[in-house]
Amino acid sequence: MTDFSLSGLTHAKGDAVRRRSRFIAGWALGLALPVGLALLWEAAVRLGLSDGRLMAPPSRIFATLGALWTTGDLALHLWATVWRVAVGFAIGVASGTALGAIAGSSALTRRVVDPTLQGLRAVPSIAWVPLFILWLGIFETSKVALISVGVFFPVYLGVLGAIASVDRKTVEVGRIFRLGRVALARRILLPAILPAYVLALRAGLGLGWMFVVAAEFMGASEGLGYLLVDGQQLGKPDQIVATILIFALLGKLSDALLVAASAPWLRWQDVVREED
Amino acid sequence: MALSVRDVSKAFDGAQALSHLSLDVEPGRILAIVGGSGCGKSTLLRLIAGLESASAGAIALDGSPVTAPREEIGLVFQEPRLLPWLTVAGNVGFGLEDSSEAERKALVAQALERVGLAAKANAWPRQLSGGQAQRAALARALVVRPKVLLLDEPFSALDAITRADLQDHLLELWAELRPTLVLVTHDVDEAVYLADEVVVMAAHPGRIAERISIDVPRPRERRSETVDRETRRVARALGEAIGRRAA
Ligand SMILES: Nc1ncnc2c1ncn2[C@@H]1O[C@H](COP(=O)(O)OP(=O)(O)OP(=O)(O)O)[C@@H](O)[C@H]1O
Ligand SMILES: [Mg+2]
Repeated sequence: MTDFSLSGLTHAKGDAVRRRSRFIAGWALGLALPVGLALLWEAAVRLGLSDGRLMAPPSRIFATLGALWTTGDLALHLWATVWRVAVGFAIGVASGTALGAIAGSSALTRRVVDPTLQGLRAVPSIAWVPLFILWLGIFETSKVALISVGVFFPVYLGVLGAIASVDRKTVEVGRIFRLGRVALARRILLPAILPAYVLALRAGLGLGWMFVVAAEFMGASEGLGYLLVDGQQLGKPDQIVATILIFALLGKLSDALLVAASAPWLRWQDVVREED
Repeated sequence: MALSVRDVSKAFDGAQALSHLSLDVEPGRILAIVGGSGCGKSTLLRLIAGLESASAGAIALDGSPVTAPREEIGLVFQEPRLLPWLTVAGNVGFGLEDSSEAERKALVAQALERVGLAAKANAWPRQLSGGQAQRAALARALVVRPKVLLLDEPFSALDAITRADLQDHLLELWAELRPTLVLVTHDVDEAVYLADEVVVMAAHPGRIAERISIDVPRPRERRSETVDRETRRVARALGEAIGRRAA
């Protein structure tokens, strides 16, 4: 029996429960495939169907991870890579946002800035590597620079596109209430571009992880990319697979953090998704 | 406030939307505008609101020219235009940024109550029906108590009962605060029920075809011999204005 005087409350509670169970179901469904495959592979190696030399079974990968962890190597490499991505991401986001906002703020600045940046974007980013090494040396600076370039373009394009697609009708609401430039930016433009901006940040972060590997391939003595190169040169496929696994986890984790951090500002969008 | 539209023309990329249109509304009067689709009603309201500038002619409030949106002028757009990232209460309180938190809350609650949306205060605009969104937009304009209120088909998405309720609510507010009201509508009954004067517009180019005073004392009946007579007059004028274009 439903008590209608409380229906609002019970409805909200039911919503929360439903959302949580859907969340758990989502995780279970998403994990089914990789975990299932891992278990199958483990079984195949144990049953002698494969020697698991080129593709280690999960147990050996976890053993490798454990060994790397106890020597302290894992923490060292992990930290080096995370630090590079964090700094490169911060620089790429700051510059991409600033230039995107400048180019988006008026047709004139867009016509001045955009063609040059579009031209630079057409350069495959890895092509910058030799130049960055000559300019900035082979140590941290050139690596961070390369990551920043990777992060910059999706953020720049995202901001520019988001500003361009702000609905003129929404802006008119601000005009009717006589908002000044700053208030218009704060109360109308920012919230209007936020969803697209978060998508751009996520795309930028994804490229950040991609470019950190490229950067670390070009000569590094620490970092997850170094672990990959090291694993290849010394014939340690276990180490390569373990590192790939870490990349997958880091990428997913950082993306989830970004989504969680932006969620409070984008709650109004969830309404639609809940109805799906 | 007295509103005057003097010989105003408006062209969009060469296409004449309004041509040499003049109009005066005395302070505290209610003017209804009817006319066929595309005859320039919304354009006229947007010009008065200061959102567009006239190609020729001038618009003035108590003699001072309107060149940009003004505090004294409120506009309810033809679409609700609620901001999707604010709750209904947030949208309704959008123009009250300068008020104290407590005052804003009280005014918003009162406005929502009046348009029958108190239960939706914390809903997101996406969760509203078309008519609910329209009422929220109306509340957003009313809550700042403009001296001139421009309404672009504010009740078009409502059922007959809710529409009649809101019409009476609008009249109550008007009796209390006496704003100058300009209301665009497609509903001839609504125009006659609410307005002191009905302006019938014709299209191509947008202009005034006829002005009809509704000399029926308030409170008005929705149906009576005098009201019906006025309704027939307006309907006939509207038919001619639209027919003239087709001919
Ligand atoms: N921004 C614009 N650019 C170009 N043409 C426009 C613009 N706004 C309006 N028009 C044109 O001006 C004319 C009048 O438009 P308006 O929106 O004022 O009509 P309306 O009387 O409000 O019609 P409806 O009853 O359908 O809302 C139309 O022919 C329309 O195409
Ligand atoms: Mg219109």
